Amino acid sequence: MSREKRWKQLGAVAFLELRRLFFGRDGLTAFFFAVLPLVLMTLVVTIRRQPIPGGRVEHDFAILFQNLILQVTLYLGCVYVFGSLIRGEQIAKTLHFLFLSPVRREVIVLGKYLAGLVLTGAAFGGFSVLSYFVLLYGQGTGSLTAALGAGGVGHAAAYFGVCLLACAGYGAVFLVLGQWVKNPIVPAIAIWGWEHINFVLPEVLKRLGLIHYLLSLSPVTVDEGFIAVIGEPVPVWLAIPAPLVLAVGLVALAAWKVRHMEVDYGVE
Amino acid sequence: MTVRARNFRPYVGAPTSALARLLVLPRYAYREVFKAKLVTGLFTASFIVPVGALLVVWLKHNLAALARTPLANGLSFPIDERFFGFLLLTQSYFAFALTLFVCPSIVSPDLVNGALPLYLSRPINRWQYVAGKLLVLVLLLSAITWLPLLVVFLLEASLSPGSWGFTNISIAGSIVAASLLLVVLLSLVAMAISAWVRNPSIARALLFAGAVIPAAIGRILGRLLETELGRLLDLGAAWGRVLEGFFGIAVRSGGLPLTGAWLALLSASALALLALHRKLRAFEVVR
Repeated sequence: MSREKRWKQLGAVAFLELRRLFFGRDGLTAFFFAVLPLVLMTLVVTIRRQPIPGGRVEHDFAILFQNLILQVTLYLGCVYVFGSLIRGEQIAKTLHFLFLSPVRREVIVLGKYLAGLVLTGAAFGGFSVLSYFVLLYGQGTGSLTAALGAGGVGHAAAYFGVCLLACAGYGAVFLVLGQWVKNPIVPAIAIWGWEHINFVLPEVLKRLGLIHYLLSLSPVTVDEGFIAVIGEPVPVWLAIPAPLVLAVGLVALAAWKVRHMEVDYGVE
Repeated sequence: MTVRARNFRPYVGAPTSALARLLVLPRYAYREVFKAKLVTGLFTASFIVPVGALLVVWLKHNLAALARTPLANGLSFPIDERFFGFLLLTQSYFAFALTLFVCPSIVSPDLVNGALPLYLSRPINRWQYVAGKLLVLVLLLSAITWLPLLVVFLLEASLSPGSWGFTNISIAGSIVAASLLLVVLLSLVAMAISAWVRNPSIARALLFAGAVIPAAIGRILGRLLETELGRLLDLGAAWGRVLEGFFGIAVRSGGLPLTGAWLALLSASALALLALHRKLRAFEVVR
């Protein structure tokens, strides 16, 4: 089969999955998690009568980005969306329809992963940037324009990029987990625990957590308290490819696994 | 006997007591719960800290056992309310983990498989059903919270000279009161979520999300709005504040008012009861 045909098939699978996610419960849940920081920022800007002191805005948003978006909402959104890409079809007993179509299974997995990545990347990246703009806008008339002129655009792009990398990395992890375990929530909690304690781990172990690479790319560094073990941030040339390499490796593993997968709804 | 003569007559034997009927639910539930290796492992692991505490208390009063160790001069920290407070704080994490894995698997299947009408067609009403399921968790969580801590307390009371036990009887009261508050809160909230979403995996995810999202939101609201009231959303912080009140230990509850913390915990329990009242019915409207 020609390469062009494969690309077409990939696009068709991705589009089909994107539509399923967009109108389904999984996509709605991801949107709920993605929109949460924006709602919070709008609430803060509405309730707060005085502007936040100048230097603190960037720092406060960095805290929100690190503590709420990266470690909670984006993580849970990825668990939900990517964990159910294969597992959800198995529970709904619809996986065999895809497997019976004349498309290689690897293409199906890749298409599904790309659809999940597009949805979560756009939702979490987009709403994070919007939250950032809302917080800047809440500081008074013209403050948004001034902040954007003073490096705000770069920061917004960096936040979007970090979200995209996080979705790629975590997404690949949960895609594989969704294939290997029946209930991905248990390993998801274990991984969350590992990522959550990353700040107290020694330098060598820090590098085993995806969050370390993502935080190294964040435009503003946040002080993690007195119990944190301070480690050198990973250089950009390593911090960007590391989540991508992880994602490629895990998607390849998922593709290998799906090749040998037998659909047996009876054991569900 | 003809078919016409087979008419139904009321039961004339001695009825079982309400409590006996209630205990049927935990009896079968425990059989299911401990089939999972993860739950058995977690339940066993929950005793590591209390057993360690028993050892610490014993060593504190048996200096001879420490003679050839670097701690020959004895253990420097006192066995007081703070000691028990930290013990309970540690056990509360185990209690949460156990609730996360046990509760959805005992409530959701009854609703998904339409078993509730079958339960309620027996001489058991809705609240007895709730109490029966609640009892499963209450007994399980009690076994890892106040019961082992009271054993530690009794050991300390028996080994200490004088009337340590009577002087510090308030510690035992605090252990029981704080533990029961935790146990009832965890059980009700977990049951309500399990009944609401009906899918054990999603219920677990929601319980987990319910623990971490409000905590993060509370911290951020506290920073941006310069108020600690945002942390009232965080039931973990509210529970920490209540522990501070009971045992005088420093938990990262971020300066929450004690009354507010109590109100948050009681409101969450009341909301959970309301959710259970709405969701646990003997009939279902299918649209």
